Amino acid sequence: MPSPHELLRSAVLAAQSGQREAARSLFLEVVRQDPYQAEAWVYLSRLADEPQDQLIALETALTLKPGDPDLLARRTALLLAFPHLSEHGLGAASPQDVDNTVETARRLSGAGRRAEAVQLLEEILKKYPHAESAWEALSEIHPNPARKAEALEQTLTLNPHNREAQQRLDLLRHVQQEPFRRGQHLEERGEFEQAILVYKTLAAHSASPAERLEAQNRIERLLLQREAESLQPVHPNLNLVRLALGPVLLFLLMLLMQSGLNPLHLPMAAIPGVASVALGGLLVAVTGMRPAPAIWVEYIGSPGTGDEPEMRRGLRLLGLALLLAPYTLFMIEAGHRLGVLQAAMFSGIR
Amino acid sequence: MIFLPLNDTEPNRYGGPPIVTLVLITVNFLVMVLKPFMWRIFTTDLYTLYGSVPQFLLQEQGGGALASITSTFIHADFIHLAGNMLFLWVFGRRVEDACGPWRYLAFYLLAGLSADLLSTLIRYKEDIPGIGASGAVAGLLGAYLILFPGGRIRAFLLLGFVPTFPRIRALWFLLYWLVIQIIPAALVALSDTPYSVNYWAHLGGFLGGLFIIFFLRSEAFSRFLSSEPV
Repeated sequence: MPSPHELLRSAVLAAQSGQREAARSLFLEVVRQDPYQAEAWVYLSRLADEPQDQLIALETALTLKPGDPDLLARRTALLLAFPHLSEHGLGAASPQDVDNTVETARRLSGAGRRAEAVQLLEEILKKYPHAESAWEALSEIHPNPARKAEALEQTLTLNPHNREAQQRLDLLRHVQQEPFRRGQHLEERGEFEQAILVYKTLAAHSASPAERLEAQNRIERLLLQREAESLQPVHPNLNLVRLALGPVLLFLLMLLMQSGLNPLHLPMAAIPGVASVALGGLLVAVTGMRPAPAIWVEYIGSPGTGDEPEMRRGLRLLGLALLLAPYTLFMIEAGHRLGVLQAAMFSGIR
Repeated sequence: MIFLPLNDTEPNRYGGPPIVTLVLITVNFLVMVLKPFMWRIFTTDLYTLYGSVPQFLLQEQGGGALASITSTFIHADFIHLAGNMLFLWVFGRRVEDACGPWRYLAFYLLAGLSADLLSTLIRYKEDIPGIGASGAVAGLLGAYLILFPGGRIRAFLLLGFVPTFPRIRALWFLLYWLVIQIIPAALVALSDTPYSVNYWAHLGGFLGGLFIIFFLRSEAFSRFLSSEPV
């Protein structure tokens, strides 16, 4: 007589090759010999013709694999498709089931399967409308703010001392009254898609043109931010050097042309001039960078805190002065040379 | 055949009007309008004084780099001006968007200087003043080719007597433009062919377009490095 393990292998092969009846007989033999064989119960739940038999097999498999998200999701789907099964006492949940379901729902939601998690919780709440933990979990997982608020109200009805639920309900009502706050709140939680949805609704339906414009700006900012996440990050120091080099290159080219394309004719004053442009360019670049580079945060402070804003303004002004002073002196000197030529042309010396 | 760009059909990414491009166009038009009056006030040859004269530049006479810059704001006539301003508008708008206004202005001047540099090296014996924004604008074309190779422009194409307005890849237009600069530039350099268009300045400006990477916004630079559309 084949062992339950060999029987299971033959049954799986039969099921995979489409021999439904043969597979079912073999799986039934497996569970007769070893009723704790969870895999066989899972297969049986798929191979059974009657929904009632499917549910019995699923319940047994769930007893052996409690909290298995796939099995729970299948059981919920089955009960939703055949509501009479629960009326006949099949699939009835126990208080332990509530805890298991809540845990499974949280896991499903964490894995990005939010719709299934919501379905599971809604189902368990139909049977256990007084399950506080299920209402609380629903308030966290449900995407619709109205249903979230409803779930929080139910939680507070069941347990008025639940302070966390009270705080969350207050916040939810607050952000519902102020859509921009709600969008901001969603952004802070990293739910960018939801935030964009809120702003799009505002942009389309708000009566105030200023609000519509603000909503549009926020949408564009979020879209850019989302796109930016996929970009190759450039080291902030490289960016600083790159940005500071632009004005230096322009100044060097101007100097070269001013000295008749002969580097040996460059005046000595060009050296401090170039240094001033480089330093000024660096200061202007570093004070304008967002987010602030690590070196800035280390020596000056985080943006917007303490003396940082005044320091930023002061250093920016200093940078602009250092950057523009050599250009100004250069232009004065070039203007003087132009004047000499004009005088020469006017007097006919040339 | 007449083949002209009319407009860049792609939108700006970072928003805001192209202020510097519009200011440059306005200043160029103002200089053109005021030119006859300036001529009267200064009672001297404006082109020689404010244009770029290779011999002056090499002998360290006149405005030097300043004259190179002022020469980009002087045009011979309205057709010369209109052509340059059309190219400035079509190709400058999105380059300005990718740089921000002040860095864009610096890049525009750098492109103008680089155009004059190459032109001076080629025309080193000449004392004919070079004028026009085409060298600086050519820098914008080079930058555009680097930043937006997939960009599309609306063009005007006159084939025989049939005018068409195709929406084409800017890449093809710019390559066509480059070819019609290189061939006459080579003829000028090799055979002393007489010319009225400074093709070498166009090529110098176009090469100056490579410097665009020093003037891009940080985010645009990241996009450029990631081979994402800027």
